[in-house]
Amino acid sequence: MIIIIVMIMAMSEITGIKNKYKAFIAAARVAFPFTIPIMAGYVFAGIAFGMLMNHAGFPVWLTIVMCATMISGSGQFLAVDLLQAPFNPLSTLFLIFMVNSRYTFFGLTLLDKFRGLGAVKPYLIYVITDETFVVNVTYKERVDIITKYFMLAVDVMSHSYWIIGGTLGALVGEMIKFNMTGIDFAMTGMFTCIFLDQWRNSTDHKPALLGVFVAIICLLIFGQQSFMLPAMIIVLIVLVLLSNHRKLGEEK
Amino acid sequence: MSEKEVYITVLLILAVTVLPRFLPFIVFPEGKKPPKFLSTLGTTLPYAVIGALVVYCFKGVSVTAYPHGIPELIALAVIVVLHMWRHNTLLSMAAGTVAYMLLVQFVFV
Repeated sequence: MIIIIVMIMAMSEITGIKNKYKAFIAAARVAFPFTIPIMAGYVFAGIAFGMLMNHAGFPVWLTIVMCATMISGSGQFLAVDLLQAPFNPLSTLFLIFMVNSRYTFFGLTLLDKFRGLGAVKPYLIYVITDETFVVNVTYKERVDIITKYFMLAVDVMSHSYWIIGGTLGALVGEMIKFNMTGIDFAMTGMFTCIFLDQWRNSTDHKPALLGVFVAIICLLIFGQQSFMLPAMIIVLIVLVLLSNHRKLGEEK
Repeated sequence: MSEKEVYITVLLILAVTVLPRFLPFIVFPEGKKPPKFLSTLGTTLPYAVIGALVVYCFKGVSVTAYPHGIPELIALAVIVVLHMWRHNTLLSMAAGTVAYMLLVQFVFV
């Protein structure tokens, strides 16, 4: 519901006046090629998510609602796993918050860029993702294109790809019945790839190793049902303390 | 988890998916500068979280019971090798998942 209101608010900005609509279409034309890699990624990952949801026994509509409202690959993959575990609201809240905390840091970088954007701003914030963040931040502004419409176009298209992917995956799982045992490994694949990419793109591997090490220790102490909450708390405390002292990870 | 608990969990997940995105814009309204330590945290926390999540993915693997984590290890190797070689997330993810599915369905049954 919220997302629909936020989206309508953002779109009303362009549908009001004909010139604005034309400016948006012009920006969308420029934006589309930038979204092609996102399309490949979101449709594929969305299909994987939809199939995971279907395999776990959740209805198609829930998959679509989650894709439309959350737009978060890692969060949603993890959600499928958490939704099949025993009910644990506190751990769920903290774990997903930590996974999505990177959006907060993206937002910090976007504070200036999003200044004074009016009605489109809430939507642009709502749909921040890793992929659209990269496109929107690295985009070289052009005089003939209104930047906020460029970002709006990138976000609306990417948002749609994600919903389409998720819907396709859920429907495929619903219609074509084959043995999906082991498909949960898609989550492992996703996080392993992110881990490897981050490892390659950074020179300081201490934070990554800290995460692995603390999680293993907590797994051994607390067991597989409840180790992520203490692990996340310890990681957060250690990193907050360190970021006040040394310049850990600064040379990235 | 009961049906009701599933929906509560979905709503909780939605809340902590939306909140982190809006948080910086709420805490630092237009013109306000965030403190330095936050930007440092931004370069370390996401790495540590993903590191912990990789461990989370393997939490259910038992080394002592059959199949001793061998399918996981092979599929992980497929992902790592393929990803180091081609740097293509879609390819690595798909190949690793298919490899794992084949292993648990046909080889280690």
